[in-house]
Amino acid sequence: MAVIVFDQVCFTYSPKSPFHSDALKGVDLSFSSTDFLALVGHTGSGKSTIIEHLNALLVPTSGEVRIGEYISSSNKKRRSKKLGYLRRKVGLVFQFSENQLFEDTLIKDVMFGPRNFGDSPEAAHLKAVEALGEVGLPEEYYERSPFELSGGERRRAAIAGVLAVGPKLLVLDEPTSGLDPEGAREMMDLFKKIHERGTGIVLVTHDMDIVLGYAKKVAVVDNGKIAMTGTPAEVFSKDLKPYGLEKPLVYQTIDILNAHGYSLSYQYENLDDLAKAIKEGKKQ
Amino acid sequence: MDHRLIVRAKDLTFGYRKGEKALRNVSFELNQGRYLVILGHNGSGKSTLARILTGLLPLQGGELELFGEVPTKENGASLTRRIGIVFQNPDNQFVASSVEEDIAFGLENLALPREEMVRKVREAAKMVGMEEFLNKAPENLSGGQKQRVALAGVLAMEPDLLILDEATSMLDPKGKREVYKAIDGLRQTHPSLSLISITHDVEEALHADRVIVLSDGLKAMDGTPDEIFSKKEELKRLRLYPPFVYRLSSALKKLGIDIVPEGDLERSLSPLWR
Ligand SMILES: Nc1ncnc2c1ncn2[C@@H]1O[C@H](COP(=O)(O)OP(=O)(O)OP(=O)(O)O)[C@@H](O)[C@H]1O
Ligand SMILES: Nc1ncnc2c1ncn2[C@@H]1O[C@H](COP(=O)(O)OP(=O)(O)O)[C@@H](O)[C@H]1O
Ligand SMILES: [Mg+2]
Ligand SMILES: [Mg+2]
Repeated sequence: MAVIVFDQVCFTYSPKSPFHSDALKGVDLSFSSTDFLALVGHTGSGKSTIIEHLNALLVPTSGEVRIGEYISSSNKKRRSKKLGYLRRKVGLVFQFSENQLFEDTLIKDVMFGPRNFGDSPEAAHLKAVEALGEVGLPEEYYERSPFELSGGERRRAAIAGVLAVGPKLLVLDEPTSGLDPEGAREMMDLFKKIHERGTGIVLVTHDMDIVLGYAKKVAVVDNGKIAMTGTPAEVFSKDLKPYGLEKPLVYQTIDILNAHGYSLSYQYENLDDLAKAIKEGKKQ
Repeated sequence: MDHRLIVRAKDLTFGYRKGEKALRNVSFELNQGRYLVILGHNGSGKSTLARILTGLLPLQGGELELFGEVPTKENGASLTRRIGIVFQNPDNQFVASSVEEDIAFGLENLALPREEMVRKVREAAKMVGMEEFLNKAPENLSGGQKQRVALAGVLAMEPDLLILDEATSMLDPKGKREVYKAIDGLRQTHPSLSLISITHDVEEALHADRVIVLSDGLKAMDGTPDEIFSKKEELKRLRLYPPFVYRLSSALKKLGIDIVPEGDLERSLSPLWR
């Protein structure tokens, strides 16, 4: 089990240029490679910048990130050399991952990762077929160009491309946006299954109901820093307005009712339980 | 004026490949000032429909009228100029090196006086909360910020019909709310603006005048949000869930408690304390 540590990480895009932008301003965060961690925060808070440090796509401007043995540091002397090894262990699905498809057929695109890491064409094909099945893309699509897929189908293809490599840490930047509601649920169930097989998950999402339903740990990102960490229940019981966040709808409902004389706790996980508690509360 | 037909689509049919249909006999009408939401599973044909309406794909079968006219070679461009579309993916939509220029891009062909152009760009940027980013490079923005810039560029053109193809999918809930508020405001000040929003967000669909659900290229449902979201079983077959208030409402109904689901959560819940 590897530990992942962000130690006072600052990151500046285009330093010393007119487009200079301080995206991270001292991120401290640690989690284990078997966690299911959700990163939440308003648009522009720094979530994507944080996770792009996890496979050293971005290197800290100051501070360092340690991913198990691998060190990604502003100090060149401390920096690890085995980038290929890291890229194989950490699979990153980008926010607009559907733009990253570039082979001329879907199947070749998903085979690219395994091939790149040294698999034979046959082995890569097997892995691609399995991954495509898991994300729900049927065989009829294999020979199509990625440009001939719908937005949601392209997103599934991009996720399959990362799954086919079999990463130890799976980093997902808003993976369900663009999926239909049932598709989003199926995809999250797939990530849950992958997590139960021992793969760590880092998930960026705006969907707080997904955070509540799937994540074991939450980090709130605000203005380039980690503002708070805790279990979903701990984080959602706090006031999240200062961070520009909304609570899951169940929590919002409880807050509204409590403001009108109810005294409901946050413990209900399904709507039938909540409805019963509302009925109780209404009588009093 | 009030009930002018903005879109009349009859039996629209389209296939990208021989023997396969992405859209099959889809018919609907949109009146001026109305807000239509289109839902449907991935690959159900929503973007295909949007591309046909905006002339990006040719009409293969069926009839189409826009603003009361049949699009032809001659008038096609002037009709589609009245339609603003924001696509699913903002990355492919940037053309300029700063946010300001990017928002101004469409306006540039209109030969407006410089001050008016600047004013319109600022107004549009303000509507989507991006006025502080005018000097930034679009490619340096976060995903949600990019979507807002793309939207501002289209709003600046003051279209008569606005089509959003998952244009808010990358925004945080607050950002979404701001954009919907901006659009709401726009509909108040420009009551003639008609809106088609393609989305997977059933919570957004609650605010529409009308909802159409596509499935495998066919129109599977068509009605008011309330008509659509009361049909739990049918929605499930179409890979959809009812919005949260409808789910809560049916849990409460089992216990004999009635609420009236609508777009505003607090108002929906108000029978519980009155
Ligand atoms: N350029 C294209 N060439 C060939 N087939 C395409 C093309 N674009 C889409 N398709 C196919 O047409 C069907 C409808 O696609 P469309 O993009 O309209 O779906 P959509 O409802 O917008 O889906 P999503 O929710 O994923 O965006 C799908 O089966 C898709 O694979
Ligand atoms: N390539 C880039 N160049 C310059 N600034 C950027 C770039 N990408 C993001 N930023 C800026 O960094 C900040 C954090 O962005 P990001 O990590 O993408 O946020 P989030 O993923 O939380 O929406 C934002 O202010 C954004 O404008
Ligand atoms: Mg992001
Ligand atoms: Mg689409």
